[in-house]
Amino acid sequence: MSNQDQLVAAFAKSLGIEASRVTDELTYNTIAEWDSIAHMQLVTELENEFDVMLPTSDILALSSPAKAKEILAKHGVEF
Amino acid sequence: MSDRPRPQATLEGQSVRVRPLAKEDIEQVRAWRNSDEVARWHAERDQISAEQQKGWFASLQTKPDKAQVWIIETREGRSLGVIHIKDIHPVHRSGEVGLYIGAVEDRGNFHASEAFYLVLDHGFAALGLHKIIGHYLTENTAARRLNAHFGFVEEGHYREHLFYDGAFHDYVSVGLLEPDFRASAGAKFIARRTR
Repeated sequence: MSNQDQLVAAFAKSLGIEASRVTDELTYNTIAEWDSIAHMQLVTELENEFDVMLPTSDILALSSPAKAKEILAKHGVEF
Repeated sequence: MSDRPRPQATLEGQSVRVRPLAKEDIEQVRAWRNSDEVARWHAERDQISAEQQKGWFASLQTKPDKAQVWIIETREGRSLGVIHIKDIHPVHRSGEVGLYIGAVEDRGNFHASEAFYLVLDHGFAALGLHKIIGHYLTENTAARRLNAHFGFVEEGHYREHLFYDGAFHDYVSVGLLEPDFRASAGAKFIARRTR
């Protein structure tokens, strides 16, 4: 599975939505499923999948799949 | 627990600070509490007068060992909401937690979760509580999800318990023991960032 596919799967699993809804236009708090608890589950899922540890500043900034890629790239994950 | 009340602590998180309620805060707190968006989630919805608010603050000063109220603020010092532990019982070592974020636009982010963690951790570790309880309306999905994420277990479901807006509503009682808190996904998530 590519990193892109892993990222989409992590979003779909933690937000409980279809993978087709995980697009770069998806943003935090614009869908009911992506609330603060789902956000923590998403961060945990990304950390487990990509073996990274995100600091609080990144957690607060992680507002879309596009932003997630940008943050993970800082931690050495390539897309 | 000590017989002598200790000064209420300020709790430092990474995204929020939880500091003792001060007299200067009480009108802001009253405005939040009287707003529809906060009052709708409370069992008591009567509007609170300025006099009542002053009386409430004065009563808190007389019983610091029974109830502690904090303001949740950003690291930059902007007030976001209120969190408390009340009905602290020295024999049963129990207390009741409650929180709200005042403005709708400040909800849905990490702040409430971190404040909740800080106060629950403080309740067990510093105040020596054995059990922390909470209550919420069944339609309060955010409260249900937040409580469950930090290990609370439903202990009572009161059917058609409260009457407002022309209908009866269910009310839920939840309880938390320290091992369940420490093992919860929410506590682990925050604790591993603060070590």
